[in-house]
Amino acid sequence: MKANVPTRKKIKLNWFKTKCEFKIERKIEIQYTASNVSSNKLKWDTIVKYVLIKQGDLINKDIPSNSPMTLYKNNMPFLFLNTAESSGTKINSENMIDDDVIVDDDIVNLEEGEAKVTYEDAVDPKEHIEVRTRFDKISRKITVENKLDNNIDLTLDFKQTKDVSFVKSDPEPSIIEEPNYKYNLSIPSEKKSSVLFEFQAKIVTRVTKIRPEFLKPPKT
Amino acid sequence: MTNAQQIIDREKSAATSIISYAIDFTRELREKVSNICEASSYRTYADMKGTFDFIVNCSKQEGEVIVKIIYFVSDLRVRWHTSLQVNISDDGKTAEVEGYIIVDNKTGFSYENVELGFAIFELPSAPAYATTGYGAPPEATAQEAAFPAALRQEMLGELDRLRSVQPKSGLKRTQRMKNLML
Repeated sequence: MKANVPTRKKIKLNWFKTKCEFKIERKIEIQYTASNVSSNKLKWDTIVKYVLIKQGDLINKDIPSNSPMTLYKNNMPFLFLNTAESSGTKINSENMIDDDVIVDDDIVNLEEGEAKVTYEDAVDPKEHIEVRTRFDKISRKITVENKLDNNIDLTLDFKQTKDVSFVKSDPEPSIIEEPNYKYNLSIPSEKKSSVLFEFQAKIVTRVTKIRPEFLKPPKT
Repeated sequence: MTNAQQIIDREKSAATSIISYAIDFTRELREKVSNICEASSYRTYADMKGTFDFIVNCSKQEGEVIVKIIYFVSDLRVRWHTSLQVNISDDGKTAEVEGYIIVDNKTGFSYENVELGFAIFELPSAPAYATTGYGAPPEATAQEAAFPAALRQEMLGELDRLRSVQPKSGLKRTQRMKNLML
């Protein structure tokens, strides 16, 4: 490519122009810990990524990562972002938090299980650790609100952990890939969609106590 | 190099004087003078002009010889990046993608009708100073001494820029432009 490059100036060279398939991928990833599963309210982010499927001139071209990318709609720019990586067939934008899709996560019900007490040795021989383990049943409702002016498709992905396991949900998951339970949601503009989950959470508390044989008898 | 630096400094000082005192140029002249002055202000050692002596061995006693000189300019002040403009169709399923290459020439030279090549490379990471004593950097090596300090600084700046584009734990938020009907 030949060009004139004047001193202390920026020049813009046409590289390519082509049509390609365009996709928007939205994802909400949810994962609880023993401490946050019983919180009254939680907030999650919707991650959005723009994908261009390479066609025509674009197939043989690699776009450097972190290149500025401007999305235009009706000849007006509406979003400024950067490219993340370009593979043989795709150009992916960076992941961004979608501010126009709101996710609320509220507790619906909490049933505390009966604690089972076991003991472990402590460092001090006069002490032991009292381990209280209980299995709580927790219901949570996740509501996704679409504040955009068009219908959106997204994937809600719940990942179970060693402390919080999946029991059931309404609606049923679209795809189960243990430990992931995925829900494909389609939400019209200005509407909400909800998923009601039931989990089993393993709650373990540990308290170090003096062994009973070393307790001083009460003064009479 | 000291002599060259003296010449650069002298030029810079002359340029500053011209800018300070001369306000009475006509339009065309003003542009020319300001270009010369600007070029002097930005000039560094890497911009100094040199001369080449060519010895052409040929069998002809007399005649015209066409000599084509191709040289490679390696200057960190000439940078490029790509930019994409994605025009989404009304149905939102296809898009027209326009790719641009933006070349930024921060040197004091203009390059006319040059062949441009674009390559992606990663600069070597900053030298991990093998600390001598109490964390003091070692004495400058011969390689470091051979590198002009300004160029080294420029390379380190570039390295910092590359580091800054590494993915961070926090993600950016979408700040979509809303159409305003005024």
